[in-house]
Amino acid sequence: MVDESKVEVNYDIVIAGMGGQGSILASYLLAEAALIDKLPVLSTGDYGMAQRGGMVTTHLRLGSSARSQKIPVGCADLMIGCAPSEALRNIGFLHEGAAVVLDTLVHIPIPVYIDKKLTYPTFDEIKARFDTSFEKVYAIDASTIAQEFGNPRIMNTVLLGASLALGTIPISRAAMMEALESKLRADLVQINIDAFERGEEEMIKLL
Amino acid sequence: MSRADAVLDAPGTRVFLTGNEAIARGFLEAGVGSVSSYPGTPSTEITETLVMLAKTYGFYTEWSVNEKVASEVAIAASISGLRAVTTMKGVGVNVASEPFHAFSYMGVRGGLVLVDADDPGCHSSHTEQDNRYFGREAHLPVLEVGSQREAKDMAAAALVYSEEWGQPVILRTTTRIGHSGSDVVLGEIARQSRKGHFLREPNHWVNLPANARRMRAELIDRIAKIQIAVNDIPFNSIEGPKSAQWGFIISGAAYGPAMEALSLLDDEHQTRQKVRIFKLATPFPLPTKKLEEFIDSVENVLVVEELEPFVEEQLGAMANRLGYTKRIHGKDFIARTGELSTMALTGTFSRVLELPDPFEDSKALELMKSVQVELPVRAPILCAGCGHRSVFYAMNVAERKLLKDKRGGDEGFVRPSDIGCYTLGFQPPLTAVDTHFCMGASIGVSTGFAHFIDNSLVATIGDSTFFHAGMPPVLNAVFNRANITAIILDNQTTAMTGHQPHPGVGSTASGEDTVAVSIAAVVKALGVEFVREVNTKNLTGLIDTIMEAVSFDGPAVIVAKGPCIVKYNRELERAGTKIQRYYIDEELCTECGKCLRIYGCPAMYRLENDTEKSKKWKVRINSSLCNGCGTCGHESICKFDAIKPLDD
Repeated sequence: MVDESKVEVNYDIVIAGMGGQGSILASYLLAEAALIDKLPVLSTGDYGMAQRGGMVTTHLRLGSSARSQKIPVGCADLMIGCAPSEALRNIGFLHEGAAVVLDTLVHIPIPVYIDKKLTYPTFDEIKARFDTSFEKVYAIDASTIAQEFGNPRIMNTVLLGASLALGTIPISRAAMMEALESKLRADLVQINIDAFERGEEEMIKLL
Repeated sequence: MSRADAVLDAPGTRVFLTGNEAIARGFLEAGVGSVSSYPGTPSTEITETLVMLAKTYGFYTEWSVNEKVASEVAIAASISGLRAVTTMKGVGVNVASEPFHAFSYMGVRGGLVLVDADDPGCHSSHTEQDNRYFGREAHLPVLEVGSQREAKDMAAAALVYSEEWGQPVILRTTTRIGHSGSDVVLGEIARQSRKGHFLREPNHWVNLPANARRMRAELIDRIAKIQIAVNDIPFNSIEGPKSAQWGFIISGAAYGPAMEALSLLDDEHQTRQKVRIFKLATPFPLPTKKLEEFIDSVENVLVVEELEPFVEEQLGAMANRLGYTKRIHGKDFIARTGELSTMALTGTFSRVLELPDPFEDSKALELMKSVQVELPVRAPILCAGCGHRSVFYAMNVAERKLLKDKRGGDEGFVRPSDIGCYTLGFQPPLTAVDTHFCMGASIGVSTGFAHFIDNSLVATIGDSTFFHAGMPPVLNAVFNRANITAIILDNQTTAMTGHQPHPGVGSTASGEDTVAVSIAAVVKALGVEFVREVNTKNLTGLIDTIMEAVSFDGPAVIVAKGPCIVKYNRELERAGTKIQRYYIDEELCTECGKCLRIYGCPAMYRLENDTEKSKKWKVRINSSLCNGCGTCGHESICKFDAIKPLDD
């Protein structure tokens, strides 16, 4: 059932976004792909009020030694930031050598417009903040690319493609493709595969 | 991707399931005969999954009107000999309290499991209520799920144990368990084949005092027997060396973080040799014999449990009875609020084991803390196009107009609200919620305030919540002459929990047609004279009707009708119908920014955010977020008529 040669694998991913972006679906797809590759998997999400634009954070743990559903502070290997500011909020989950993949579109919460005392960081400020602590920070225009594809909802798949192209996630490309093909609605499979491949290309340009 | 498919894979397959899906599969594997529930996060997905499978596997499911009725349906199934399940959020157990307290005396025929989904950390609930106490008070054995990997087997076992023990059983989960996923190996599905049959046993099913006195003695006896039985169930397990310096008794969802914390400390310090673990699955009744043996094998005891010192206190009493001199540690080391994290438990364990804490001076932690200060919280807000926004906005306008005209008191409205999406009317710029605490209380407290304060009372309550607990307080307003206005937000679904049907919808959980109960007809029948229905897209109508209702002498009800826009648009998209969205005409826009600042629709944004000093507000509508309600074009929001239907 579980591939014994992989029991020593441990890879922790944080996906940070906001309600409606599909970050939970992205974590399901990664989990399904991990299962296809016979990796034990543990995931958890904080999404009690996700539908309404609140914060959504998903933790995905690949490998058998993970016991806690949530990744302990300072232990995650990868951050997938569907919303850059939410990625920043979760920065402390990463260890020093972690990689960070960020969409570039900043979503300003409504209260920031209303309360004059509140300010919000720009993408450049957010990226600079990551750059001071981490070497491997990658900005991907996933929202813009998704718009080009005519479906803003595939932004998450662009980021998945970019993240897998890093080559550090212990999931094979074949397993990821199989998960996309078997777990998405039939009419959405092709556009997601295209988005995934586009994400891969964008990352390869940066590497 | 239908999640029900994953739940249905073949026996022996390893699949990825959330804790809630795994629990649903567990009930399938135990031959469940009836599932009746009221939705509530974090429990909803259990029944939602089973609803999709009921027809195929020949069992009964329903979304009931509230947790009390759901429990009574489950009790009827049990009395009829079927295996029965009811699922609810932790605070929902309060509503189910009376039938369970009584049925506990009577005992079950078919196994009966109450799934109680508690919420340490208040992710989506208004209290952190620890329902292990409810189990003990009502004499219901509590099985506590310690990881989503064991959730399936424990759910199946709970139905079997309930039948063996003759007692309803609580399966207690938490948000963390229900909303976490893992690989799970599936077992055989047992297709339920029982036929419901009523055995006339008046001395058993009629809980009159004479019977109750006898049954209480039988109940105490039954619990004593269960107390012995739980020593031998596999979910209560011991791991680690045969004897140790420390014994950790770990209850429920604390198990994962606790084991991770131990492994973080283990590498250098051989912690595993110093600690023996008791993984406790039955906080009530405690497996006392097994615990005694465990406590005898260790020098010191630490109880690791979330929330209240429930196990710790019972162990203290047990230790006293047995004359132990060993101190039982617990909440002297471990927080009583929120979830227990790996980091917090690593700190605790390093202190009790006198080891350095790897998280002390953690750079990551410092970084995390410094970022929180800079970033405003992204609070959940009402969706773009939500009809609730129109209502709250109209309330604010009506209040201002009445105050200006010196009608409706000089102190403005007091606006009690209720449990549902509309609680988010609390957020600025609407800021239209003054009290909020339990199902139905918006109208209930209003009928009280009406006798004590001079303000006009305008309560808001959703349709599903009205049917759940809102009808008695409307009756109370009529009966006790409370001059209130209640706005019933009728979006034709139970939106907050993911769009379950309710009595006003016209279809059941399984999609069969049924009567669509009219809220207006109900409140008229309850004796309310002033009843109006208004569409939520009609802002002028809402404002005028609220002013009229508040000015009316006596209880007034407005039914604000407009479908949940998320559900409605999803159906339009599936049907291939275009959604009419809106844009801001740059030539007509004076860049005053009023629309964004007073209406707060999340589809709107401001260009050039980085020039904060600019007085100009170049507001735009993100067409991929706009849900097309069109209310932002109302003259009170944009008097320049700059918000137009998008023609593409």
